[in-house]
Amino acid sequence: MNKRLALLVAAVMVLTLFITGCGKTSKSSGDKATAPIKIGHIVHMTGSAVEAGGEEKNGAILAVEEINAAGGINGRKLILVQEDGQSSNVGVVQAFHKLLEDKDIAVIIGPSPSTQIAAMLPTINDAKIPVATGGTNYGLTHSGCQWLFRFRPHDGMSAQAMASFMVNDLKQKKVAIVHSTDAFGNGGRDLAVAALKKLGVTPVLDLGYNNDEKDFTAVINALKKSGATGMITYMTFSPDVGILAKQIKQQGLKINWIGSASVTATPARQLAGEALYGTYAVADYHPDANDKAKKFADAYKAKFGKDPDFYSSWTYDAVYVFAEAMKKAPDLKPESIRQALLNIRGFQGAEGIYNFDQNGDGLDQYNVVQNVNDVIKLVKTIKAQR
Amino acid sequence: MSTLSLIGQILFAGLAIGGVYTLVALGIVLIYRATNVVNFAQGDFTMLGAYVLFALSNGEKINFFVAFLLALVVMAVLGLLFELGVYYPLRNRSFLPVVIATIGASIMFQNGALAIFGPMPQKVRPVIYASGNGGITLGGVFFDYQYIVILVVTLALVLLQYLFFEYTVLGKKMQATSQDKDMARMLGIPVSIMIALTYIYSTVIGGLSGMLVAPIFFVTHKMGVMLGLKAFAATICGGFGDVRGAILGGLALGVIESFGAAFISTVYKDAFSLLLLLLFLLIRPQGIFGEKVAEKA
Amino acid sequence: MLKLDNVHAAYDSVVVLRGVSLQVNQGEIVCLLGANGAGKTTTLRLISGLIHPLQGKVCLEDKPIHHLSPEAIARLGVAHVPEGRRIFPGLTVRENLILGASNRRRVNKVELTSDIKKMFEIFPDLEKLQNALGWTLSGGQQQMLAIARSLMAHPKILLMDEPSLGLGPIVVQQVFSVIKQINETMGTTVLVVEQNAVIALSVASRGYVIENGRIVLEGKASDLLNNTEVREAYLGGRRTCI
Ligand SMILES: Nc1ncnc2c1ncn2[C@@H]1O[C@H](COP(=O)(O)OP(=O)(O)OP(=O)(O)O)[C@@H](O)[C@H]1O
Ligand SMILES: [Mg+2]
Repeated sequence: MNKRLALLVAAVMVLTLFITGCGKTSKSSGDKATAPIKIGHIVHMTGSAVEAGGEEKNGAILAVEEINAAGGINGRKLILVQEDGQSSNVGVVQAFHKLLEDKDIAVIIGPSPSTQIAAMLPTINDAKIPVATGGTNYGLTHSGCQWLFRFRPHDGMSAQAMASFMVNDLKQKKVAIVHSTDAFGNGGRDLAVAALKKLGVTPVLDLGYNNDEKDFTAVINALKKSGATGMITYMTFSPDVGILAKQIKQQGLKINWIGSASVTATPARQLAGEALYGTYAVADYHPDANDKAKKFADAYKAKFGKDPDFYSSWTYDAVYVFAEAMKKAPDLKPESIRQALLNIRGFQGAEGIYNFDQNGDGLDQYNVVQNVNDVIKLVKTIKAQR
Repeated sequence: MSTLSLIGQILFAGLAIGGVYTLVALGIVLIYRATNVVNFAQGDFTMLGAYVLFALSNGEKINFFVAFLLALVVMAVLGLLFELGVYYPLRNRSFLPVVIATIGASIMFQNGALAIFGPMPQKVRPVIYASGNGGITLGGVFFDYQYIVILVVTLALVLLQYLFFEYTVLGKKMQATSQDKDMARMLGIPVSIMIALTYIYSTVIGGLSGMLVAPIFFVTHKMGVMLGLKAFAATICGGFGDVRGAILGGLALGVIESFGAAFISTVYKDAFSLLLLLLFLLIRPQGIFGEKVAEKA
Repeated sequence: MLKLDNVHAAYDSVVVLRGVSLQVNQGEIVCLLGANGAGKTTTLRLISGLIHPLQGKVCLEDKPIHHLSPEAIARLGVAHVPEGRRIFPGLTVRENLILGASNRRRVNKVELTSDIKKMFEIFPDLEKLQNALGWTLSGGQQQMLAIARSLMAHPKILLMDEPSLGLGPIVVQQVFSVIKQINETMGTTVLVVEQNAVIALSVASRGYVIENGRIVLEGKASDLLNNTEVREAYLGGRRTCI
């Protein structure tokens, strides 16, 4: 009997704690006019995506510091509230819910992986709060969600950039597409096929492979047989790129190669070395692309002692663009901020120039870069159709 | 490119990958035979071996080959610790607790590696350092030196292991231990030492396979997962618990995958091993060599 | 030579031996008789160190051994031919014999070869089977091999668990004449567990009867052979033996 009593007491205590706890977070704190404005940030602090998570965190921190140093938003300072997304779909949804409990949070910066954003979409719809993402899957902003804002060009644009560069600049008409068989790779393949078709080119080969492939002999044989002179790749993991590049060189295949960002990622370059020299890739961020990008790179290097990448650049831009919208908005109600975001025109960020459309896509251009003896050089910026 | 050299290229790649499956599978089989434990952490030994080699050879403070040998010694120590930490406390329990413990160890190894080395894939240099392609082209077939090293090491190890188990008394004692532990003890065979040796050897060959594939793959905390799965498929096809089965199963799996990818579909490359596994489970569940040692004695 | 003093033993919590005392003297053949489940095998496993007593002592040459591991007890010169023979199925006859000498320190090749040769003299059948795998042997051959393997240990005392089990009458005769021969020519002390009382008592000098984990009767072989209880229990009556 005593045991039951103890259990009951414990249950009541937990309940009270829960209720008072909730009460506390839902109560708005401080004076409206001078209180800091909170930006929620879902950051991967644990799990396999901590590396990218760290970059995203740095980018956001840098932007917040710069904005606060310049006087904040109409006199109010910005602060970041970070939650661990645990590198998983479940983790990001949990983190999102936690951030929503804090009613002072005006906007939220989400994670990059498209699958994680897809997992969050229903909650975002219900929560009705502006959420920024770096996920590039085309469908994310075309699902009817009015609250998702994308700070990187989507995969349809990268496909257009790759196809256009392959056909118009490299003048290759026998093009093969090699892609991972996941959502990213398959989606990219479809977009690339469509983009090539617009340019009057039908791919001579369309080849999927499974992520984590260790031997690309079969892929290379198929490429050789197809007679392709150009190759567009959507490969999810950069180590796979490294192995493919090495084996292409070893097995004596000569081909013009432009691929998604994994082609220039550090692991790929480390593994492949000179086997990747001369290859092209699309990149949403490049320090030479514009003045803001250059300024960002310098500030980032000064603060964190390393070069930024696209993970840090898009969160950096997200904070700036959110701040701009909040300055312009009549109040900080979510709907007002949303409208202000949609009204943003020609805002120069590190990634490019932001003009949000009704879908929430901010950018419409892609950089083409080349691996020149392990230095990633900007070749050109290609404007894409949305 | 002639069809012949094309087939040669595919065969070579398949055999080399198959050699790696074989090394991992051998570890699984030896531990299973000696202690009736299905070791789900065997794939992770490859990951550990690769990371140990990376840690020792990174920065080239010590000669690579010295680092290589040292890494094998470290793996031996890890093997002993694994035996003492995972198997020994549960040795008198039924099948399941130990197997679950190995799954736990596998998770621990992966997360430990992630905590220590981070998520960034790491690189290890190949055994034969050659400028250019890192290989040689003969008759239209490119032979990657590292692939050659893998094949040679696999064959040499298989041969050495065969000689050891067939022609030494220690080998016989280890076999006796795996066949009937209580009887072995009553004959005065120090069974716990035999078991510890089995774990040490299995960990070392697991680690060795990781050290050999490290330059081809990248070293990541997940690198052992797929290898472990393929090795399991190989052992089941070969006949679970049969050493020859592990060898044949591993090599065959590598070759089938390689040809399947080239002539049927690159997308379903990993599915071939599963398909093969299913076929065996349906048609010949005991595997290729799984009929001998009937429970007669 | 071997002495059990009021030994109690259990599997998990089920008590199986409840005060077993028995003694085997140097050079003797002693048999332990009992029905199924009486605790005979348990007694031998206990002597070999596979299980440890809850209470009581086991002494070999006056030194307690019941706390030792099976490996250590084997090294002290106790050899065990277990129930079911337990030949290593995947090893050849010759390899099984070689492993029999595992308890001896530093045996050189020459010694080993000559010991094996001696075994082939005692068990001529094994010689032509020496490269056959254990599992291919017949029951009788396995029993011979199991005995030969235990002799390779140069044991001071040999424990045998139902050597007649599952064998035809002629083979049973052979097995027991070998036991007698070993005892006489090598001076090996033997403790043999049997249900076939007639044959066991015909080679033994003394015997014990165990029932429900207790020794209920002991005496000279000839006395036991004439004992009415024994006759009733093991020589016809309730139970027939081969
Ligand atoms: N491993 C075990 N776990 C639990 N109980 C056991 C075990 N082995 C034997 N027993 C029990 O101990 C008792 C004695 O068994 P033991 O094997 O010693 O009998 P036995 O006299 O050798 O019989 P048999 O003539 O059938 O061989 C039996 O009741 C048996 O059920
Ligand atoms: Mg018995």
